[in-house]
Amino acid sequence: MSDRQFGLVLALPAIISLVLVVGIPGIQTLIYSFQRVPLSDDPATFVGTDNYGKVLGDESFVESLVVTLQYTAGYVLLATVLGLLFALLLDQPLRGRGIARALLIIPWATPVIIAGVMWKWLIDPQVGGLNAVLFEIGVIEDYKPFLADREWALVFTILAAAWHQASFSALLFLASLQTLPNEIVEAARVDGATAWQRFRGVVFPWIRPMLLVVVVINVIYGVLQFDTVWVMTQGGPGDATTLLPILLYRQLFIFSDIGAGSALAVMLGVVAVLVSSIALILLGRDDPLAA
Amino acid sequence: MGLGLSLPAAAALLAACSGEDPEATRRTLRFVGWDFLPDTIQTHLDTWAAVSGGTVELEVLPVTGYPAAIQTRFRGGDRPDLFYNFTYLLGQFLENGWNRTLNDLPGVEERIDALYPGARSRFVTADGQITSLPYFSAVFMNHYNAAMVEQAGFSGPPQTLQEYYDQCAKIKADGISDAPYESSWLNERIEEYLMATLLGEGITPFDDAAQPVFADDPRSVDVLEWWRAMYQDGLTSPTILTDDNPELIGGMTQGTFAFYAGHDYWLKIFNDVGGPAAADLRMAPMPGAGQTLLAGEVVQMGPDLEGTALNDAWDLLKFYTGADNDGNFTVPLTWVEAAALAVPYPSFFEDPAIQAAYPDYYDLGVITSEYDRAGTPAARALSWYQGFQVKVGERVNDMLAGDATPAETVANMADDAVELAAG
Repeated sequence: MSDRQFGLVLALPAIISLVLVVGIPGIQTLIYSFQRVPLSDDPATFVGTDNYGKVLGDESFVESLVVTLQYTAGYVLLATVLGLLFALLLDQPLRGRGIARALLIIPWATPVIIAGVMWKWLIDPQVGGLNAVLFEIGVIEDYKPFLADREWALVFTILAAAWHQASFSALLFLASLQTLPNEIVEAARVDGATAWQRFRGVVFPWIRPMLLVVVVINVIYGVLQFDTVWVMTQGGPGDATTLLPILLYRQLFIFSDIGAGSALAVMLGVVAVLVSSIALILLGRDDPLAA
Repeated sequence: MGLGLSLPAAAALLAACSGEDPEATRRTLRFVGWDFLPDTIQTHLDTWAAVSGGTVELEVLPVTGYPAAIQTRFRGGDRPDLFYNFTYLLGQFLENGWNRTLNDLPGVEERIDALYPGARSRFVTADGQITSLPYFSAVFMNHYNAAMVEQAGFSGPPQTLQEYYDQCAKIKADGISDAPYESSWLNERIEEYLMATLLGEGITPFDDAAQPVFADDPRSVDVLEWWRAMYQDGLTSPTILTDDNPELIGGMTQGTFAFYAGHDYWLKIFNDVGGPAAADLRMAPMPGAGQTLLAGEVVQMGPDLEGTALNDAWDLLKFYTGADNDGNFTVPLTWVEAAALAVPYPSFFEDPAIQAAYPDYYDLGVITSEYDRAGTPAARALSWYQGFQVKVGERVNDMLAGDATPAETVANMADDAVELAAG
C-alpha cells in the first residue's frame, strides 16, 4: 500500500462521516430549495427559483442580512483580537501561567446556552453586575437596560458570543506561538527591536497562517450564530438581533416552509463562504512567509 | 365520566365473541412527551399498563425545541402513537395527516361535552374534527403584589386597563417600584398578550371564518394605545421585550415588579421559588369585563393505530388527559400537585382530591369563574397562525419603538392575518 493509499484509508472514516452528515443533507437541502415541499407524504414539486424569489422578496431577509453582516463583523473582530491578546499574554513567562492557560479554556467549555444566560444576567439593569461597575466608575449616570435598546442588544449579543469564542481563538494562537523559535525573538530583542516591532516584524508574520484559520472559523461561527442570541433576545427587541439563522428557524419550524427555508439555508451557506473568501483574500495578500 | 368497562376489556370481550385474537393487533405503544417530570410520566404509563394489560414505551424530548423536533420526526416518517403537542401546531398536524382524529372513538363526545364551553375550540375544529384532549390548561390571570398595591393607596387590583395604568403610574411615582408591570413580551409570545387583552376588553379577535375582525373594532386601537403608553411611559420592566422566565420569577419574588399578567400556574412557581415578596403575591382576574384567554397544551394520537392498539391508545389517552375509567383524575392530580396545572373540565375543579391538591393561596372560586368566562379564538389552532404570531411580535415591537402608530399596527396585523390565511 502506497503512502497515498494509506493516507486515504486513514481519512476514509472522516470522509464517510462528512458525506453522511454534511454531504447528503446538504445536497438534499439544495434540492428542496427548488421545490415546494409539503409536510405530508405528498410528493415535492419543482418550482424553479420561486423559493429564492420568495426569500429575497421578503423585506425581513434584507434586514436580517444586514444585521447578520454587522454581527459577523463585530464577532470576528472581537473573537479574533481578544483571542490574540489572550494568547500573547499567556505566552509570556508570567507567574501562574499554567493555571491561567487552564482557565483560558473555561469560556470555550461553557455551554453556549449557559454563556448566553450568564451574559443576560450580567447586563441586567436590576441585578446585573455590569451596570453597577459602569455606574461606580462613572461611565453611566443611571442603570441601563441594554437589551431593551436595539443597538446595545446587538452589541451585547456580539460580546457574549465573542467572549465564548475568544478562548478558542486564543488556544489556536497559543499553539502557533509555541512553535515560534525563541531565538528569533531574542535576536530581534538584541537588535534593539521594541515590543511592537518584535510583534509586527517577527510574531505576526509567524502566526499569520493561523490567523487565517482563526478568522475563517470565526466568520463561519459568526454567520451561523443562533444559540447565544436566541437565549438572550430571541431576535429582539423587534428584529434588532434577528440573524439569518433565526430567520431560517422561523421559516422552517414556524412558517413550516421547507422550500423557502432550504433556499434561505443555501443562501446562508453562500454568505458564509463569500465572507470567508473575502477574509481569506484580504488576509492572504502579501504573506511574507508564502513567498 | 367513567365508562364502567374499559375499552381494552370491551375489545377483548368482543374479539372473544367473534373468535378474533385481540393480541394479534396489540403492540407496544410509543408515547412521546417533553421533559417536564419525566419520571412522573413514566409512572403514569406504568400504572396504565398494569391496569390495562397494554404496554407503552416513553420517549422524552427537551421542551426547548420540541416543536421543531416533533415536526422533523413526523416529516421523516417517525410517527409515535401518542404525543404531547403545542396547540398552535394542531392545524398543521391535522392538515398533514399526522394525527388521528378522535371522532369515531367511543365516549369522546361525552369528554368534549364535559369541557368548559370556552375550551371546546382548542380540541374541536370549526368543521367538527376532534383533534386532541388536554394535557393541561391555564387561564390568564393578573398576578399582583398586594403589599405594593396597598402601599400605593389602592384597595385592590385594577379592574380596567385605565386602572391598570393608573396603579402602575402611582406605584412608580411613589417610588414603590421603578418597573411596576412585567409580562413576557418576547417576540413570539406577544400575540398571546394581545389576544388576552383584546378578549378582556370584549373584542372579538377573529370571527368563525377565522377572519381578523379585531380591526373592525375601534377598541383594538385603544388596547394598543394602552400598551404603548405602559411601555413608553416607563411603567413596564425596561427589558420587557427580552425578559424570559428567570427575569420574571426573580422580579416578582424579589419585589421588583408589582404586576405580572400570565397563566394561573405562575403563582405556585413564585411561591415555590420563594423570596422576600413571594408571600405578598396574589392573583386576580384580568382587567376588563370580557373573556379571559384559555391556554394550555394537548395530547394527540398518531395516525398509525388500528385494532387493539387503537383501543389501547384511546384508553391511555383518556387516562392521561382527564378522568380515568373509575372517574378519578389520577394523572391531572399529579400535575396540580407539581405545578398547579389544570384540565379544563368543571368536574376537575369539583373533585375533592383536586381541591385539596391546590395550595391554600389559590382561590379556586376565582379560578373557576375565570374558566367560566374563558375562551380562545379558534384561529389560534390553524396552520397559518404561527406565522401570524411572528408578525404580531414584529408589529408590536415596531409600534413600541415608535415606528408605527397603534392604528397602523392594528391595520397591519389584520392585513398580515388575511395574507397568511390566504397562503
